[in-house]
Order: sequence, then structure tokens, then C-alpha cells
Amino acid sequence: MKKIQSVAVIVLTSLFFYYGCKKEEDQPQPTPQGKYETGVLISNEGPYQTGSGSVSYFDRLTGKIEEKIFEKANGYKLGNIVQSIEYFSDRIFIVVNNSNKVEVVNSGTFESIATIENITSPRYFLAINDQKAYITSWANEVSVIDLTSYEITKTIPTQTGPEKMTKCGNKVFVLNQGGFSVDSTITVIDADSDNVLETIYVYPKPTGIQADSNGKVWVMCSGKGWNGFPQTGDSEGHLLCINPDDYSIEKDIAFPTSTNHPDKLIFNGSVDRLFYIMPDGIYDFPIESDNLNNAPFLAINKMTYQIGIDPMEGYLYLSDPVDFAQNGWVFRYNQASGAMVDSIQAGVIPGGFLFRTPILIAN
Amino acid sequence: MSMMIASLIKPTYSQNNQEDTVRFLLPVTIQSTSINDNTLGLKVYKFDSLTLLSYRSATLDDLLRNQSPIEVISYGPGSLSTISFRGTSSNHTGLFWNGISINPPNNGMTDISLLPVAFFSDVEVQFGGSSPVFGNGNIGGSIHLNNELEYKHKNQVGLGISVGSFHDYRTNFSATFSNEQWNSSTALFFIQAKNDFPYQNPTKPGQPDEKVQNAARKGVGLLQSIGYNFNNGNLIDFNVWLQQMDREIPSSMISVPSQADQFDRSLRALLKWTRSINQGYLLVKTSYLDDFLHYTNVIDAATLSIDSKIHTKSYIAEGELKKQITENLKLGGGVHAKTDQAIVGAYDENKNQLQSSIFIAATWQIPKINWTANMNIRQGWSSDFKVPLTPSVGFEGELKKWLAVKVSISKNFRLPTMNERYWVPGGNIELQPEISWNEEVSLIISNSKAEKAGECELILTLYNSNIDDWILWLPNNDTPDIWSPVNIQKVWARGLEIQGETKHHIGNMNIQASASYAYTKSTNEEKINESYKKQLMYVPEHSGNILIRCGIKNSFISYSHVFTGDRYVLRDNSEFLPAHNYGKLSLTHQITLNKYQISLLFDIGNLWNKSYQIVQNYPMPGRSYKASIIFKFSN
Repeated sequence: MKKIQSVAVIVLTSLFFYYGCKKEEDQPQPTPQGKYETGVLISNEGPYQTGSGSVSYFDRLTGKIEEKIFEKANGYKLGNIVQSIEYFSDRIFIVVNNSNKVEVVNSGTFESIATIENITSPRYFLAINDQKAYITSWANEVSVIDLTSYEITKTIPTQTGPEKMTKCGNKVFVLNQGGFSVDSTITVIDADSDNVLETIYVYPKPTGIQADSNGKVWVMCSGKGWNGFPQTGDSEGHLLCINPDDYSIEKDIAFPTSTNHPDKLIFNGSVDRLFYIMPDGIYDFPIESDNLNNAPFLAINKMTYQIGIDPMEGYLYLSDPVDFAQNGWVFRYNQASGAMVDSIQAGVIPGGFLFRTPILIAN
Repeated sequence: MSMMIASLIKPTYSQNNQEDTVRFLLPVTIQSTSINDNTLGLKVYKFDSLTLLSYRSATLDDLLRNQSPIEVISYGPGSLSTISFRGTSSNHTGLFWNGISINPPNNGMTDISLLPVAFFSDVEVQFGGSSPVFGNGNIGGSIHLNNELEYKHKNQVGLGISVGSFHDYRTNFSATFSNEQWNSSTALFFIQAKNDFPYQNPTKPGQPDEKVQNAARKGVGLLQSIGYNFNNGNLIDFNVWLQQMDREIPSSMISVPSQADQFDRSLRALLKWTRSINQGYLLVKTSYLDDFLHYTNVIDAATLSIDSKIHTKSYIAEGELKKQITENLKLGGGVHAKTDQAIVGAYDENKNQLQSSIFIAATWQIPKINWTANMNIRQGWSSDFKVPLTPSVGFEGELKKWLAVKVSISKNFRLPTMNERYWVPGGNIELQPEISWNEEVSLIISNSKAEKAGECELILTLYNSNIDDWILWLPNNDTPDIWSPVNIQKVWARGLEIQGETKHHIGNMNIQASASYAYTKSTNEEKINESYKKQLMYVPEHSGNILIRCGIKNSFISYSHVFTGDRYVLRDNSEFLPAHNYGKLSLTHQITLNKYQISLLFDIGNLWNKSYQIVQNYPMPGRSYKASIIFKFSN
């Protein structure tokens, strides 16, 4: 494992959402404090209905994993079904779906700062600026959160089952996946006024969204139906490249069958190559391409529940929740060669990655 | 002395026919269940009438949880409660009403929190695999609920009212009118409870005191039996059991309060004809079972709700003949046929299934010595599976005056349920039956002959059970959101049970005490993941209970204490629920005035006010109180 001799370590993080679409303002540079400031955070959903989710901390330098760091720091459980985890401005936001709350903790110590409550089935968090953030909710809305008081200041209506978001310039693109049913739209919100600008009609079950290095928005639509359970009325998946200015679809690449559906969408560190999950493994796709690959980049014959890329080491992280009733695993692969690096035991149903990135500052 | 004293001398729950644990004689008596003869070698408990009286206002979960060593997996008072025997699963437990299986075909398990104790004159618990006798699904053990009709002059009307903590109100009414020809028995129950008990929530910051929300229930039930004795060896009776329960389904303390509701409605009808024949009997039963369940859950009022309906109907016909062939040999046999229909919203269409079987049984008393052997063979057929031939052999014998032995070996099976086959999405039509081999041996040490010194009995049981093709619902590799049942585990369940009981009379006081301990090891023996060689979830390695009852004249005091060891809540055994124990104190006083009898009961549940969970993050109530009064008029 790479050794980093750092003079000082500062943290950029959550590189996902800040690539491509340039941020308007520079983030204040925090001084590192607390043991969880660097490394990889893995959110674990927890046993369905009865148990608590958790956050595991993986230290890249030592290769050690620490379990249940929220519970350790705060003395109480995180809550039922930890859906997602994000970093913003010295804070970690942990979205706890079945407990209708978002826990806000200090990014270094994991000590609680606040709890944002009373959001019906919250899904994902996106910081807009120092003052406010958006949280998608299965009440079919986006809740606008005041980042000082941690109160809900207003709600923005969406279509059914809003999930992931990405911010591009001043616009926030919200995927409407459909909740327990199927939706096929993207709600575009003006991040200044919090008004809905547009509802873009795409394909059924939009599952992943991210902006690339050219400022285009890529969307993965799974299509209607489930892998392994074909039914009449199923539709094929589509990979879309959308122009964020006029919402025109610049690329629309259809998947070959309506029986094998793609899932998720992530980018590499340089934001020019994307990855997604298919039944037979992980596929990659260079953004300049017009055709899908016929064979997986990584052939995987077990379950892949979540996928992530560590922008620091460039490793692909694949989570395997086993049977959802025991501790799951995270397998790390070399992004270039596709070779497996190692495996990490996470908590129950590892479902989210947050890569904290130490950066060497030269003297 | 009232008749209750007489029943006190009988064991609280003891082996079947304690007085003749080893059945030296082979009387051919008419049995509404096959529990006596054919389960030779297996362990059977029967609750005595005083215990049933003190749980008269309760549902079956409450009785079994406090008074027996069986694991009752309960989500809380009034909430879903199922039974797990000897490290097996809830759907390995048979549930019988007057000898017919009432487990619904969609999921093969019964929520025992819906069954009112007051409806049954007998509650018997049978441990161990018994598919050759009872058929499909009886891998872990079975529960037998009977309402026997007596043909003698008796008119009795009873009314019981009870008030308990957490807004719990119950009423029972019973009326029996019988003579040598007729018996009409009616039982009614009403229950209304909020179950809004307080608890401390350790999953939240500051461990706040909270109250359980959305856990109320309200139900009504009726059981009507009418029997006619032709006095020529023919008996016919007809039983109808109707009930409905409307209840709220609480969420775990770690989630937001739920708004889920469930409505259960059951109709069970049974027509039974028994005919005494020379040295034997013929028993014919036909039954109709109708279960309806409606579940609704509002996750968000405007956008997200669940509405699910499950309706199953079963028609059952059974015939059984039993006859003493020679002085030492008894033979029996019968047929069973059942057709199930399921109207379930989550199936793609209405589904039907047909299951039938034939069975034979032989019991042989070995001359001159007090040994008895038994054999059963059952062959089943199903519209959907190849059902295995399942045999069993049982043996009971006296080695010394103070030492007896029981042995049983059986092959058992469980057919996949309709949910496991047809649920959309995920149902797996290719599932195969689960198959198990069960072996057990019991040693019974007793001094019951020397009654003056006080009766003592100690029973040691060792059992072993290997269950193949154990079905688990697992997420699909390619679509983790969809779960499917698969024949994946091999389970090895084995253990040791020790049960002791003693009874003494000191002056005018009767004391009865019993204690049990169970060591249960139930592990997955298939190398599928980190669950390999690990204990199954929610199976405690150590468990036990203590029962003490003391009676003077017409007053009784009884205390029960239950201990349950750590239980893993994850299949890799990386997390567990801590051990718990709770006690219950009951006081009973009976007043008899001519034809009137009044029983006053007072219970303190969870006497030591212990905080515990049976299912992770579902609280159980702390100390609670219940007062009951039962009037009885007999003529």
C-alpha cells in the first residue's frame, strides 16, 4: 500500500460531485483534526427492519478497518437503513432512511453536531453552498436544509421516488427512480431560487447520474424489469449524455436486451471513464465512445451491491452484502488491470462509499 | 377440596400420561389426535387445568412464553409470535386443532398471538420430528389444541373478565350444556388492548423514555361445538371457530413509528365422526379452513402505501382406523387429503395445490417385560413435489423400577409453501422439500411409586436432527432488491434437555416445582459463507425455566421464571442480543358457593421489571399487572 509522507494533510473529498461542473467558490481549507479525517468511510445499511446501520472506517495506510464509528463516538445507534453518506465542509452527513433523519457529525471525530429530522424516507444529500443543502425524500420532494440551523426551510416537489442528485453550474438534476414503482424523469432545480426549471423525460428507472469533465451530465437508466425475473413490458436500459444547458440528449446508447439491466454509474478520478454494474460484472465506458463494451471489464459472478472509485489510489470498490443478514465485504480492484487487490470486511449491507483524500502539501 | 386441588397434583406440564410415562398397557381409546400412541419415544408436555385456568384470558404466546421451555419468537404483546423448537424455524412447527393442521398454506406457520387459550380444554406440546405421524412440516415439534366434548350431564356457564396494564381488557364467556346424548359448547372471547407500554430506548441519544406506538389490538372470537352420542359407539361432532383480530403493527424502536395495520379473519370448521369398533375405532374428519389477512402500511400519506391481501382456503378430509389385532399388537392406518386455494395479491394468479398421504402404524408390546415399540410409515403425494416416504420407529421401556428409556428415530419433511413458490417477484417454483432425520433418546428417572416421600422425576433428553435443503430467502445476485427462497442450508440441530419435577404435600399444603434447562446447538453445515458452522439466528444456546406452585386449600401462588441466553442476530454470529430473564407471579383464589364458583386471579408479569428484547429492537413490557375474575355456574 502506498505510503504517504505528509507534511500536512488537507482534505478534499466527495470528489464525485465536484468534478466537471466547476464550483463557484473555493472551499475553506480545514485543518485536519480527528482520526477519521482521511481514509475511506463505508456506510452499512444494517439489518432490514430490526437492526441499526453503521459506518466503517478504512485506513488505507494501515489497511485496518474500524467498525461502528458513529456508535463509538456518540454512544447511540445510527438508525435503521443507512442509505448514503456525504462530506461537506468539515461535516459528514449520514442519511438514515427508515429513521427519517440525517445525522450530521464532525468529519474528524464523528461526534454528533445535529440531527435533521422529520424527512420521510430520506435518500441522498447534496450540499448546494455553505448555507443550504438538498435532501431527496420518498415523499416525492427535495427538502431544503438550512446548514446553520439544520431545519427544513422548504420543500421542492419532484416526480416519484427521487434519488441521486448532481449539481452542474447552478442547476441540480434529481433522478426520479419511482420508489416502489417505476418513474422515468429527471427534475431540474434552480439551486438559487429552489424552483423547478424542467422535468426531463428519459427512460425508466434512472439509477445513476454524474457530470463529466466536459460538463455534460451522464445518466444511467436501468429500464423496466429485474435481472433474472423477465416479465412482459420490460424495457432495455439506456446510457444518456445530457447537455445541462438546453437539456438536449447528446448521446442515447441503448442496451442490447430488456432482460439484462445496467445499474449505478460512477466515474474514474479524471472523470472521463465511467463504470456500471451488469449481471455478469462491471463494465467500463470511455466517455468519447459511442458503443457499449460487449464484455465486462471485471467479470464478477457474485452480487455487487454498490460500486465506488477511490480517486486517490484509483481502486474500484465493490460491495457484497452476502445474504443481507451478516457482515458484508468490500472487494478492491485495480482500475487499470482489473486485478483484485484485497478484501475488507465491512458491516451489514455495505451500501455507500465516501473517499476522504489526504493530499501532500510540499514545503 | 375443590377439583382444582386434584389437578394440582397432576404435573404442571409433564410427560404425556405422567402416571404411566412408559405405557405398559395398550388401551385402545378414541383419540382426537394421534398424539398418544403414535408418538411413542417422543417427548410430550401437557398443561394442567390450573395452568390453563390462570391463562384463561391469555393468548397462546403468553402461555408458552411463561410456562414452557419452548422458544417463542415474539415481536411484543399482541404482535406476531411464532414457535421455534429445538433450533429449527417457525415453519417447522406443526399447529393442530383437534388433530387437523391449521397452519395456512401460504406460509406454513401460525401466529400464536391470535389463539385464545380459553378455547381449548387441552394444550399439548410435542417435541421432535413427527412427520410420519403428523405429516408435512413437523420437523421441530408440534402444538396440539383440543376441545374435547364430554357426554355426561353438565350445564355450566362461565364469564371471565380481566383488566391489565397498558389498557388491556378481555372478556371470556363459555356455556356448556350436555347430557349422555348431546353436548353443546360455546366459547366467546373479546380482547382490546393498547399495548402502549413504556420502555427506555437505548438506540437513541440520551436513551429517552418512550412509549410503544401503534400496537393496539381488538378482536373477537367464537367457538361453537355440537356433538351427538348415538350410544351405539358412534359420536358425531361439529365445531366452528370464527374469529377476527384488528391490530396495529408497531415498528422497531430504531425506526420511525409505523402506521401499519393488519386484519386477520379465520373460519375453521370441523366435522368429526368416531365409531367404536370391536377392539378399535374408526375416525373420519372433514374440515374447511379459511384465513384472510389484510395488511396496510402508509409510509407517506400522499405518495407511498402498501396494501396486501392474502386469502387461503383449505379443504381437508381424513380417515383413520385403529385396531387391537392380538393381545400385544395394535395396527392402525389412514388416509389424508388436502386441497389448498390461495388468493394472494402478490401471486400472478390464484393458485391451488393438492396434497394427500396414506399412513400406517403398528404398536407392539413386548410380552413379559414392560417394553413397547412402535413404527409409523407415511407416504405422501403432492400436485407439485415428489414427497418422500417417511418412516419412524419409537421405543419405550422400563429398565429398572426407577429408570425408563425412550428412543425415537424418524424421517421428516417440509414441503415448500405457496409463498415460497409463487410470490412475485422472487418465488421459486423449483424448490425441493426440506428433508430431516431426527433421533432422540430420553432417560426418565423417577420415584413416583414411593409417593409418601414426595414425587420426583428427572428426564434427560439428547436429540440430533439433520435438516437438508433448508430453505432461506436470499437476495438475488443480479437483482439484490428481489429475494428468492433457495434450498441452500444444511442444518445440524442437536442438544440436551434436562427437566426435573418434584411434588410434595406438607400438611394441607401442596408444593410443586419444576425446572428445565436446554442446551441447543443449531448450525449451518453448508459452506456458503461466513455462516458456515455458525449458530442459527435467534437460537439461544442456553435456555431454561423454573416453575413453582404452592397451594393451600383454595388458594394458590405460582411463580415462573424464564431464562434465555444470548441469541445471535446475524448469520455470521458477529452480533447478538444479550441474555434475558423474567419472572411472573400469579395468585389465584377460588370461592365455591353451592353451584357458583368464583376464581380471583392476580398476575404480575415481568416481576423484576427487566428490560429485554426477544426480537432485536422490539421492546417487551416491563412490570405489568393483571386482575381477573371468573364466575362459573354449574348445574
